[in-house]
Amino acid sequence: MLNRKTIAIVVCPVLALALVFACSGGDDYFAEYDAKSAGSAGESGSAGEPAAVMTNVDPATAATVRGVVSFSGDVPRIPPVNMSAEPDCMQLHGGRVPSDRVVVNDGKLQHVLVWISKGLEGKRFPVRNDMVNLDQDGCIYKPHVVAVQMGQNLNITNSDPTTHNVHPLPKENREWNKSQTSGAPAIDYAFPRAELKIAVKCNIHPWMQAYVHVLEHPYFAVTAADGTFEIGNLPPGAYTLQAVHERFGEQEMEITVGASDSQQVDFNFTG
Amino acid sequence: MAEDNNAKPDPITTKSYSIHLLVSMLLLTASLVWAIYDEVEVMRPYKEYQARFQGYYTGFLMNLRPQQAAKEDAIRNSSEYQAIDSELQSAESAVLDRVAEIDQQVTRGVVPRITASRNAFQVLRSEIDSLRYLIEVSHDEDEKAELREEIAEIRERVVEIDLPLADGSGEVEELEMQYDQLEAEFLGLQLRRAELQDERLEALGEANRLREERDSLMSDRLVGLGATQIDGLIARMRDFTIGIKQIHLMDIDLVDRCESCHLGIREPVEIAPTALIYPVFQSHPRPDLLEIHDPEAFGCSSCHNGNGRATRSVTKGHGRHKFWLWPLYYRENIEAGCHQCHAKEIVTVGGETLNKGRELYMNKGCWGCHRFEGFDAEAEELTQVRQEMRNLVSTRNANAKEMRVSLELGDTAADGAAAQRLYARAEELRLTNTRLDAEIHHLTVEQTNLAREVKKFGPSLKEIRMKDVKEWIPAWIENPHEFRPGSKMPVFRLEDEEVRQISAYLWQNALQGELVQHPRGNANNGKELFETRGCLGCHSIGEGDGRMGGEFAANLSRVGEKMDYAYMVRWIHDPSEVTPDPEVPDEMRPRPVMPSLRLTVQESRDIATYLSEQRTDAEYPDADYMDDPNLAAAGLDAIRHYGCAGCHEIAGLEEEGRIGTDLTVEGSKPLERLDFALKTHEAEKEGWYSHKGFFEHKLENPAFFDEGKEREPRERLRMPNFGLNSEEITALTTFLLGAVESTFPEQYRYEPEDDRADVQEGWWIITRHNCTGCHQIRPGNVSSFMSIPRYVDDPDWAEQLPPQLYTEGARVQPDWLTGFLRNPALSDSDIHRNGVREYLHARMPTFYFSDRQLSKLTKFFMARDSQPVPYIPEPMTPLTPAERSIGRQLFTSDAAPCLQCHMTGIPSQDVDASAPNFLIAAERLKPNWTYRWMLEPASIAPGTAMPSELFERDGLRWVFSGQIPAQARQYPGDHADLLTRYMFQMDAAELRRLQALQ
Repeated sequence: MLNRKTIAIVVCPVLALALVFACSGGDDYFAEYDAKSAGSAGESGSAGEPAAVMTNVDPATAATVRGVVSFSGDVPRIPPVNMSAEPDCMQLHGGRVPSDRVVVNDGKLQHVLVWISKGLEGKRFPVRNDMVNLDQDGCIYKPHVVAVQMGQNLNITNSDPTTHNVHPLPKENREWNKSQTSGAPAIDYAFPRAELKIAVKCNIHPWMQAYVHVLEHPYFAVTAADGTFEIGNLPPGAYTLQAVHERFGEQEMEITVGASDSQQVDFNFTG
Repeated sequence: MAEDNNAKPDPITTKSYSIHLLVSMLLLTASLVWAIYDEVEVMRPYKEYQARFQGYYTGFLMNLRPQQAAKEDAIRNSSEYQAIDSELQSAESAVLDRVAEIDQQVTRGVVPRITASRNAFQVLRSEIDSLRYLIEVSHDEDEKAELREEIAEIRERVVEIDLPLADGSGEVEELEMQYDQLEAEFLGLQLRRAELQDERLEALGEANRLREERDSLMSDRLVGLGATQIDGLIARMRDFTIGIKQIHLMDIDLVDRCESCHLGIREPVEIAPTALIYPVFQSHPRPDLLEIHDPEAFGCSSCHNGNGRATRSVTKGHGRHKFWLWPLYYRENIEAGCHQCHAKEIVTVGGETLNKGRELYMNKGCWGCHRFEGFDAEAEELTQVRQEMRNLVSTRNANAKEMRVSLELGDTAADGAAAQRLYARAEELRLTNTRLDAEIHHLTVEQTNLAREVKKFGPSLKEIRMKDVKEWIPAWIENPHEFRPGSKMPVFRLEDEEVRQISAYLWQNALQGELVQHPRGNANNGKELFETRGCLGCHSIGEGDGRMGGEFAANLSRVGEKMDYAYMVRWIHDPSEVTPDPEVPDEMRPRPVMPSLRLTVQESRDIATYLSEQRTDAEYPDADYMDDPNLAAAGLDAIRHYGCAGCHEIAGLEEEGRIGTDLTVEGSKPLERLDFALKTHEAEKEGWYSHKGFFEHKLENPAFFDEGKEREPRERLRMPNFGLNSEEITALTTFLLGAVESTFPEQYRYEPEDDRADVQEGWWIITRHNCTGCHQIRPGNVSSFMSIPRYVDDPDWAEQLPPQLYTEGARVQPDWLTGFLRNPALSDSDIHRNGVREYLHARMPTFYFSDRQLSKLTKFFMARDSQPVPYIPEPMTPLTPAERSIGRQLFTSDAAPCLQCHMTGIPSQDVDASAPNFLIAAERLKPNWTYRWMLEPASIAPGTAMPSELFERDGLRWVFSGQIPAQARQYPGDHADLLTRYMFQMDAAELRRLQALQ
């Protein structure tokens, strides 16, 4: 009996000891991550948001959104541009050069960006390949507002008899500032990141200012002199349509377009 | 059982010990098994890490290889690479035959012949050499002669030898040669081989150059490692052996085994935290820092803390154990490790959290109560200078006395020689004293400088009687954060009575003086000036989302409630104008931190009018008690107790010291000396019984460790509450954790004595004067101006930002810079303007820098750009008349409309100017910088209005791009160089001529 007891007394701690180190042997550092990586197996490799998927739009069902941006209230009086520092340009105008910051014709507002601000998340579209030109003509940027898709070329030309410098002042894209002499070849530049309201300046002629909107997708338009815009080839769905003016801010509208719809959406800004 | 009682069996024969032995044996075996198991497995958990790393990393590399190979292929297929490659191919094939021919000559002709002749030649030569040796060691002339004869014999000996023909035909010629011929043949062959090798190299020269060009194109374009390099890594992983990986630094007795588990730390590919599943394997996130601080020289734990020797568990290795004094820094405090070696700095490049902590220590006024080496150094230097001066004066007096004695002794000396010796001694002492006089003068100047520099953190309270609304004072003292959220004045734990006492003392002991009265100004203009002239570089206005401006100085949203209008006008107009204080002589008067914006009186009135309208309709109760002398007497006690004089000038407390502990090495303080009071148990239980835990809790609520204690008001912890946010607490904690007594020898610490020390010192002045509130001095700086709405939203205002100073030292001449910093108007009479950028609304203010500070700042900018001081200008070639004429044409050509933006000095033309006047270029700028500026301004000042690509490359020179006059087109020199010289030689007459041409 005694002997058995002795054995028990001695063996038990040994077993217990063995048990202890058997359990504590592995650092459980790995377990946590193993579990995690097992859980995420099968998902796409990169963490975070899933990569955008290239979307092909079926022209047969594509919809169109068009409309007019009008303006009511008093049109702010903006003093005309003083170009006396550049006689070459002044001659081109022959007198007063009205400011292009706010252009209202018959109650219709020009230079408003209209774009789909929500509803296209997670989708990627081919880069538009239409030519977007920003011309320096008469020491004025024409047009005052342009919009491009990211990756789409902006073609910047100088039609003036004088040298300009082209100086975009983005907050998220790269900043650059190049001189463009009279008759110099066009500067082609594709903004790599989406960003609204990138001001473009000419430091030599400080009154010159344009805005470039860079959008992630091809669904945008800038209102023409008659306030009209048109966004075509839009896949059916529910979207938020946003109108942006440099001075009068933003407006939004929820729209739902069905297959092959043609919708009329109008905005109105007030002064 | 009873029968057995009598039987006494012999235990030796009857009792068996086998069970005991068995048990012991089992026990011993078990413990042996345990010991081996423990030794092999438990003590070495890193084995598991290493095994996993080997597997996962190899997989990672295998995965990476095709990606990188594809990138390499893409580069290989690029037209540029192809162009060089095909050039290389043709260069190689052009010389292919020639190279083959040379190789043929070498391998089949020259080399076999060398081999064949070598043996015969070497046999003879060694024979001769051994005889020569015998001659040298022999002492017998006859023997020497004999030996010489023997040598001559050998030289005469004719050897028969078969040599392959050098033409490589493989045929052999049989020759008979003597030693000299053989030697000539052998050496000639070797020379021939060298010639052939040179020829080969020359033939391949172009091909080798192209290959180098091609390979460097590849390494320039390729991001990450190439496939071959990855193969090397994979091979290394195949040969990986499991074992402890350690760094041992003998001189500081440091052993770090961190890399036994952190195996990816120094791998040459970036391993993202989850790339190998386990974050432990990630590569060091700042390889640039590792490059400066090579782990082989610094180890790991010297920066990160933790127990570098421990390998048994993560907890132990990281030193997160109650018996380890220096636990691994947590990620948010990781930069604490920088401070111990960078203790002399207030700005350490790359240590942004640490820098923020130091900046807060400076700008929250922590140093008012807590000494910290480096902060408020001027006051300490002043004491030293005074002491040194006293020493020098007493040495001088002693010298003068000894001189008199020597002269007198000389007069009565016994002989002429003795007299001369004594007179010489007197002479020497006189000269020594002359030198001492100069030194004393220097120290006097230094003392005046330092006295100007010494500044208490807060405003002087000697002026409050003229400055502040009486009733407002007690309300402010009671809770400054209620009046001004986020104010640097902290909230003290004061009894109501103490507030009254302190107010009374301050009020009754303030100076009384007359203020010039001013009419009200134009508040609208004042607002515009306030928002654009520069006030917002330091001050802020508005609260919550409407707040704008810097955090360096007070938020002025309610300043109208508290400040006297006339005082405000005086202060804005000239902050250095103060009420005369009988206690302080004028030259020793400290100058305010607030600089002068050189405003006109009218502008000062306008701003003061605007600011005095910044108020709420809060009402303050009567405070007649402030005139009670009894209260004031008690107030002095309270002021002393709470250490008010640490930050403020207070009458009667000019010499008052600091009331807090010195924090210079607070991070090294033994943990048990940090008073956790009744929180000790809680801290241990919750795992924050550490320096970090103490600092964080104390900073968050300085009264925290009083909780639960039974104390009289004056026994309570005195530290006031600064209302710090969590980011600020982290930054300050990082700083304090790093504030340790370094155990490293000097060579580890960053205490340079060359111009890098100028950079270190300069940052102190820059931080103290908030230069970065307006200027960007380091890439990544964000000035206060850059967040003011109009500068953010309006592209025209964006160009009104104060200039960036990234390369200021390379840009300007040091003497000019000193003068500019002393007086940014660059004029003594026309002061209400900027000296350089007159077109900016923001104005470079006049700081009350001492000469010492001016010199340090100048040296700072020069040192940062490795510019020599003093500056000796390079000689400038004068312009020829033809060059002058071309310069003039270029300046006014349509291609280079310089004067469209640069100032001319004619107000009507300068309306739209956005760049400085050329007339100051020669005395301000350095020509080489100006040249580089014209070529690529964006790489000097990102975002500048000066356009890039004004010039284009034409062979070795730069020519103006665009339409330029014919004369300029024909000019053979570099256009940028010509324009630089033209600019540096421009005078007012030339500028007028240019304007006429425009």
